[in-house]
Amino acid sequence: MTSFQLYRQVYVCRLKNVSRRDVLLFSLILFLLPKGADQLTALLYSNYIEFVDMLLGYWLIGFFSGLSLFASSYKVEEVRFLWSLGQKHTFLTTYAFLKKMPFLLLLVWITVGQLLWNPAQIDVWQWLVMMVAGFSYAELVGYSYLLKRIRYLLISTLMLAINLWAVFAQFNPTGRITCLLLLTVIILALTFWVAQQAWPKVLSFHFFVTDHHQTRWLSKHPLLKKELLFIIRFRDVFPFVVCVFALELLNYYIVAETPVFLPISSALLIWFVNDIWTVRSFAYEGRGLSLYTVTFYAWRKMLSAKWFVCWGLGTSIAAINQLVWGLVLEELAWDKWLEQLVQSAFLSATMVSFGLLAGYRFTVRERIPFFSNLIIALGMIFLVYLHQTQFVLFVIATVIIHMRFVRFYRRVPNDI
Amino acid sequence: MNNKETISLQLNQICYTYGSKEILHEIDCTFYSGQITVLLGPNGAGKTTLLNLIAGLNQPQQGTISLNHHVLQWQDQRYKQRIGYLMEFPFYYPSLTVVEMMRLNGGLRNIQRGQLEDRIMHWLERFELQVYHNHQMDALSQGTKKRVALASTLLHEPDILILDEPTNGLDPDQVMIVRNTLQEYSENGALILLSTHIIGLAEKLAQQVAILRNGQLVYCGDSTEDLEGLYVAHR
Repeated sequence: MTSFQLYRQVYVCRLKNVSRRDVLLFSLILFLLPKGADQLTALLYSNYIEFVDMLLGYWLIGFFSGLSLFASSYKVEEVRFLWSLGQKHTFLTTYAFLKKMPFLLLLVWITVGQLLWNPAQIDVWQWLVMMVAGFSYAELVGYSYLLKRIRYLLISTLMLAINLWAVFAQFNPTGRITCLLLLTVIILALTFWVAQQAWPKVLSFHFFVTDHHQTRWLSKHPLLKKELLFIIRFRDVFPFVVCVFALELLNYYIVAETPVFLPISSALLIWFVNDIWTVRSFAYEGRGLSLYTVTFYAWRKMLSAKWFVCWGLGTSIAAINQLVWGLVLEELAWDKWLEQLVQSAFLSATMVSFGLLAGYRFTVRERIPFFSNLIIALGMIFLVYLHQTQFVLFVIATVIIHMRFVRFYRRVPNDI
Repeated sequence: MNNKETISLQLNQICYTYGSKEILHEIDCTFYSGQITVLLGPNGAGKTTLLNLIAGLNQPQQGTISLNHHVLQWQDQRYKQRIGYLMEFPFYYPSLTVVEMMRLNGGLRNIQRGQLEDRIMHWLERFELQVYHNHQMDALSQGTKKRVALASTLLHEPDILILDEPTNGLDPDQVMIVRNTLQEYSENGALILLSTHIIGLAEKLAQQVAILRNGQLVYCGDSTEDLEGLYVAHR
């Protein structure tokens, strides 16, 4: 069996279970995404973004997407399973790459699909190869990081230098595309070589708990410690950082001339926090959720810990966003900042209650299906919209959500 | 599986360290085909680590593993093809059915399709799994998943069977089926090495016993009728 056949059997075959409605909805989203990208491109160009910045931006998109997928897609148990069946490094490396292909194809579609809306956008092909180069470089970095040896880190650094040279060098389009394609092939070949050394390291991965003779403060508050540990998981922190990076980049180009965008960006940050952490908090508990259904006290303690941690996280990130941009733009007025803080706290409270309710409702076998996630995200975006433009309606929505949440808080659900 | 070839697996001064922690220290032992060797020891003794080394999942820092006195290279593919390894917590793809999971295992072992279907049917019947053949893996109980994993391990008829806690999660009837199957398999010339912390099971199965404590092999030899006494004597 080849790695492609394994991939087809495990992942592609799942597509037959997708409903027609879901296919239509996804197709519509796919159709609109390049349109959004095209409009964003036009907006960036009108804000004096240069061609080189666009190339770098696409490379970064490819790199961060690739790195995020690398971190989240390899499972030690699966690697051990395949290795124990006699599969070799090439198989494992190819299979690991195949698992990321749908996401790469999505990025390719978003990039190339812009031609549907703007056929004159000839730079698209250079952006595309830049993004693919960044994506493949992320694979090399991932495996090099696993090995943590100087020579592999030096190789990664050298490849990074070559990538950056390809961004800034004065090439004609054909020259740049050819150079980047060649570079991508070299990076992929190096990746296979480095991965050959890395897989044995992955196989021997073991988690040992070391003894702590002193009891730390957090050990006395295990519920809080557990929630904080959920928050700092790399698989969640990384996509959050990517989203924040993209949003702050947008802020950089927009906020100075359109200060009204700043509260919107704070609201979006609160959305990110809740979409990444709050909604998934029941899924993270897994079977451990049954610990909290034994008594009302346990249930409420658990919910309170989740609520306050997520609320605190969302509010503080929004507040920092407001504070930093206020300082950068030299327009910081403390009374205005406090007012924004209260508004953010209010939005965060609503989002957390909504997120916990939605997360509980849509968690199936310790995960949230993709389209449920989409519905939840749309609901949250709608709350952000109401918060920013229709405050009275937002208050009404808040009251309804909190009433529902209080009922949820006061009674242990039967169907855990 | 070749019924007539005699196999011996030698461990020579095997040491394994992870970070600063020494997991296994100078393990010397030989296992033979046609015998079931039971690896006994308390939790954390290093049983799983030792089995992982023998199965080729990890590489010892010192020492060698030899097959019929031929020192094995860590990634020796011909050796791997002769092994069937059942992990303590077997991996499975949640959305695949039992038959799909077994076909996947067989496909990864390059078993021909016609042969594979026959073998799948045989082992499904043997472990009384026919009723589950179309059930998704994540809908099964732990014991049933374990039996599916064991059936999958036997698909390619390995000469060397390495089993980590094979009866965990199984009810008494299922334990008997597994026991009888392993005994038959051993009589057909396979080398079977299994770990357990259940002395009763070890007494019924083992011709050879290896006792591991704190990463050291304190006993490796013939089994006795009073296995519990032997185990306690090597505390």
